Amino acid sequence: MATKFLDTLGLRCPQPVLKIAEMVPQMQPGDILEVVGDCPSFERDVRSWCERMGKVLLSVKDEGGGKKRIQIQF
Amino acid sequence: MAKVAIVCNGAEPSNIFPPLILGTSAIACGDEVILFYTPGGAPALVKGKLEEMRGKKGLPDPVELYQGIVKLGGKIYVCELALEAKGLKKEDFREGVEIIGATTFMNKIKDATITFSF
Repeated sequence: MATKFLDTLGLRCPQPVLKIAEMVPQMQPGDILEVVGDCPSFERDVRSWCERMGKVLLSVKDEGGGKKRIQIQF
Repeated sequence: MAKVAIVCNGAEPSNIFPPLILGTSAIACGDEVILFYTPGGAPALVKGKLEEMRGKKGLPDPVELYQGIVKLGGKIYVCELALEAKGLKKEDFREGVEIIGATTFMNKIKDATITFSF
């Protein structure tokens, strides 16, 4: 199991989700993708993406200043 | 997964951004996405036009959205009527654009489950 990182700081909806989708081919089952973002809809969009794609949202950490760090398990 | 068909009827920001934003959201979630640009919308896909739309306050980068849709397998069609109506040639359009007729488009989206027009 590998953990990969994705920085979407400064990107606006729906670019963070697009970046996550572009990472899919690199991810193996069980891998974790850690994404940081500060778009106002970032957390809700990632939750929706996980729900639709059948991925597990492991954690959401509010780092202040509108910045959140989310872990997704593939 | 859904099959999403979006028609773009104009080349103003209010026409250009919604298809790209909704199309990106859909394709990122695994939906099949087809965008169709009528003669009114076709100038939006002339090389360099999306670049002019970059940097608008609070809005995503339209070039990245376009490239993302193409990269993830979305289809971008321009109505062939646009060529003569707007004095455009196929090579005037950005990479990823295909020119098709309305009947072909309608056949491709006959089983679409979500449709929009902007």
